[in-house]
Amino acid sequence: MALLEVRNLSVTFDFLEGKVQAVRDVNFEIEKGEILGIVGESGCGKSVMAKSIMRLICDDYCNLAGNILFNDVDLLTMSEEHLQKIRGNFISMAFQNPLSSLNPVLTIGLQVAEPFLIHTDMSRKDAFLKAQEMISKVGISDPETRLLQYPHQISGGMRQRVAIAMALALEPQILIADEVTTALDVTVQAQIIELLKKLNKELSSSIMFITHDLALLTNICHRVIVMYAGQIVESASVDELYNDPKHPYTKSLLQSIPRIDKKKKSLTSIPGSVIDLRDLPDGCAFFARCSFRKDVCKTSPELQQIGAKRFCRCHCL
Amino acid sequence: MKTFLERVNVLFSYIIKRFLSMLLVIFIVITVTFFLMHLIPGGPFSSERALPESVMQNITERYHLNDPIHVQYFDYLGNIVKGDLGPSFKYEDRTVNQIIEESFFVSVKLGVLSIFISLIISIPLGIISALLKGGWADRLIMMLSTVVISAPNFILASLLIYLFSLKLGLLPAAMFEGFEYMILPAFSLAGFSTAFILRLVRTELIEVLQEEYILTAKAKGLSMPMIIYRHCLKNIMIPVISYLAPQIAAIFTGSFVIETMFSIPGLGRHFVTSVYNRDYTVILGLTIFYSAILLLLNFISDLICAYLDPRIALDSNEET
Ligand SMILES: Nc1ncnc2c1ncn2[C@@H]1O[C@H](COP(=O)(O)OP(=O)(O)OP(=O)(O)O)[C@@H](O)[C@H]1O
Ligand SMILES: [Mg+2]
Repeated sequence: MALLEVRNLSVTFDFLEGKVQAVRDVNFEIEKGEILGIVGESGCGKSVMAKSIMRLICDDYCNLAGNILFNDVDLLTMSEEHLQKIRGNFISMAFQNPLSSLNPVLTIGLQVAEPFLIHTDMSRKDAFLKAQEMISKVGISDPETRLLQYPHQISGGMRQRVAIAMALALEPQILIADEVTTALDVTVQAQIIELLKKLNKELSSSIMFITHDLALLTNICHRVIVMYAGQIVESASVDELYNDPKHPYTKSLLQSIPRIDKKKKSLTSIPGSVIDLRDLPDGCAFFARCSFRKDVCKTSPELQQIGAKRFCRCHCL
Repeated sequence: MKTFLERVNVLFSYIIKRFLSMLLVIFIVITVTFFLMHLIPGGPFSSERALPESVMQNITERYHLNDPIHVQYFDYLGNIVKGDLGPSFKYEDRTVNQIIEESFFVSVKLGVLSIFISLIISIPLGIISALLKGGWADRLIMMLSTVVISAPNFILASLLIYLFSLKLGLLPAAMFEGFEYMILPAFSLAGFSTAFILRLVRTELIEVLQEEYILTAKAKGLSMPMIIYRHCLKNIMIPVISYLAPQIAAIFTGSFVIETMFSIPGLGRHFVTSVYNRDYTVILGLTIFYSAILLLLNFISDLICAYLDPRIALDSNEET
């Protein structure tokens, strides 16, 4: 039994103008201690999927269907009170933009201490001591001073570390890291990735690492899921994916990153634009941009098992 | 990171700077009002019943009204520095200081109660309204607040008097002799600001709840009441406090309508009667007094907002 099992998850936003199918029938699992990468272009539904795992999108116009089993308990049917005990405690999330995801009018100290304050019966003083410990653990210098500062007073890299410190405070079993490195420069990016790897080893927590940068994933993940237009189009171990990509979308993603080991003269970007989730075609979602397309591709391909833990959604295998 | 001492220093020099600029503004208010007053045709003693020439002579002599205007101006400034706003022209044996002393605290007492009432009602209702946005409770609250905002306060006052004094006989409708006398006028005064603050709170909370840091708070496992208490309240209070500063100044200096309706000896009616009587010194004194209170309250509200939102820098050179 896997730690987290996502079964037939679909997320649909119901607007007056029509439906947006942000996540379509997604199935995957995360094992204990595993780092799972989720990759895909901007707008393919990564954040929506991540948030729906913690049931953080629950507006009245949003429909969640499927099962999300955490230790065999379905998070989607759980009561809000029960869910509050799990959020931040067993499953936690670090968000895409560290400036807007930290409260500008509260000190760093309070925000990092908050998980301790709500999930344990620690005193305020102890919670702040723990917060200080967390802040130095994620590699922020001078933690005592930082506790009293506000988000706008520290650098972007530090803010991202604070967001991670907050998410890791109670040593969760799963950390969902939603593009935690996207807004940062390359050196800080590398530091954050080292940090996540270290924490994964020390605490053996599982990490769901979301990014739209395939090159980053080799460094950190064990297994990768490639998403396109709200669907999983390929899932494989990192090595398999890099050395033998099956889906045309994965191939073009790989081609669009610079690699030292392959002599490529120029970068190719994927032709065409990301598909509009409001107006999905009947057949394969990648049809319009695919260079291998055939007539059969006008019907929807199923996700097929093509290896021990390998799946691909393509007619042309 | 600034040390504690440096921050005290910044605060201190900010306070001094603000005080100096407040003095300047008061000075301008005095000067402009003073000269405007003398442009108005007719004097305080030109009533319908003409006074004998000799009496007129006497009075103008006594109030130095024959001096050149710049001499009068400097006399007046000199007295203000000493804290003396001069004698009333209309009521011979009273000074402007006395008038303010007698009636200001009546208005303040009433004002404090009415502000308290508005906050205690508007903040919870605003929060409820925002949380139930679009629901029937929200629509009812918004409809009522629109009515209260658009109706002049004497309508609310008449309604309250009719209901609670005349029909139910629970509360006195006039005079000012104890706490129960303050209840109806305080509620009448509170009507508008209650409805206004309620709308501010609702709008602000709806906006804040859209912020990504609310999602972060939720992801940490906070319950909705905790999210509102810890992650929204400070933000909500900033527009409320900015609105309250001028509102408190207006309420503390009295409301003519409410004071007249409930026969309350407050400051508000003096604003109207002094103009009616062309009582120069009272008009001037009250204007200066009102501006001083307004400036002071704005200053306090700026300090509170800076405390609530650390991104507001008191010192313009401070890093942001
Ligand atoms: N709250 C919402 N209401 C309606 N539509 C939404 C909402 N959140 C996301 N969407 C839509 O769902 C789709 C997927 O968005 P999502 O944020 O998951 O993309 P993403 O893969 O995370 O992209 P990025 O790499 O830019 O973060 C988008 O088309 C977006 O417009
Ligand atoms: Mg995203």
